[in-house]
Amino acid sequence: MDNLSEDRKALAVLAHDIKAPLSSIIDLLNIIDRGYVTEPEKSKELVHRAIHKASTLIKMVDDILDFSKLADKSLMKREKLNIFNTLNESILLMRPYAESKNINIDQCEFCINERFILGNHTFLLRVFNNIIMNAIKYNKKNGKIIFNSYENSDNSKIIIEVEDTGIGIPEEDLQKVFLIFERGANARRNIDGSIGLGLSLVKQIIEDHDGTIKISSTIGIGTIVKIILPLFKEGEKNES
Amino acid sequence: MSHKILVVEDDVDVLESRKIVLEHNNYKVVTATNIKVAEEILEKEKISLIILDVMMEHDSDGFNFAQFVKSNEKFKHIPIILATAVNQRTKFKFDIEEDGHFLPVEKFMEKPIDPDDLIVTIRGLLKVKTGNI
Repeated sequence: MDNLSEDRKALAVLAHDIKAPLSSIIDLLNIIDRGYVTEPEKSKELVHRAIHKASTLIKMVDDILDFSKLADKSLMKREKLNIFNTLNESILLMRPYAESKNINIDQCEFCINERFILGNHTFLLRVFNNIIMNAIKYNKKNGKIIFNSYENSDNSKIIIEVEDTGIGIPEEDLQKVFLIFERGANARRNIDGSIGLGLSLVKQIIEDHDGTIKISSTIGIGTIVKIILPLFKEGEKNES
Repeated sequence: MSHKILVVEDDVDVLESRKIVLEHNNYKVVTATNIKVAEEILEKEKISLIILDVMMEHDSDGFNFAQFVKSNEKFKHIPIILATAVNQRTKFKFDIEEDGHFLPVEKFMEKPIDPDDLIVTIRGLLKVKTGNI
């Protein structure tokens, strides 16, 4: 399929993903407006549901805006930063959400160390937030999230792994997780307003940092997301 | 005796909206959020009409379920309204004239479905199939 066809397909999926919750909101409000519901408490509940649906739409639009921002490289200035700091900040941010879902997040003991890269803190925080959020959402009840880090053989790259004990990604979906708007069958079971931009966004950010991202998964066992980033080289300069 | 309508839809808000509108019009309603449950309901209950969402757990669930109903001697008389959220701009708008041959449903309705239009459509289909609304 050529790029134009791919773009049109992506737009069609995007249109559907936005139209479905919008239709749902109109359905909820229509039945109040047309007098199908007369009890004030029931009307209140339906309005509350409509507001919640509208909030998920806002999240979708935010994702789209974030994705479009990536096209403008001037917004992503990179500077020397300790990547473990960024990871640790993300863990702290995500921990309350994980606890609310009874998911145990590893303490990340190696995060007290320092490993410097040339990176953009805001965008990389977004990367870790997204990966950890997925590890929470698609985890099993009382599941775990474990972090691991090491360097490659010539110490030029840092590898960070985020491992979950979740439902796993089917092999046929593993090839597609980074494609725009793609969600696997298992992911569709967790409808939360996500439109499948998350991991394509993550991949783009990592590639803009000259890094790579890999995912391996076993159904019923869990998923490991591996991020490989070049370490800061002496003499490298911050981007102005 | 009032007709029993099966609503197959994975969005619980849409499901609730349909249920309220149908019950307000004195129809009995049974609901399913996936096609496996919908198939079980069909086996157990006497269903007069199905309102079916196209995209559920998998994008083709609605199509597969419609094919299942219409290829089964026991159920093929049951009219189906297929609810779609895709439209002309995406080139995925369905039309009975053009698409009916591969998708054997009685009616396509584009979401959001106006509740009054839905009731008029249901009455029309039930009148054709059963002689009463």
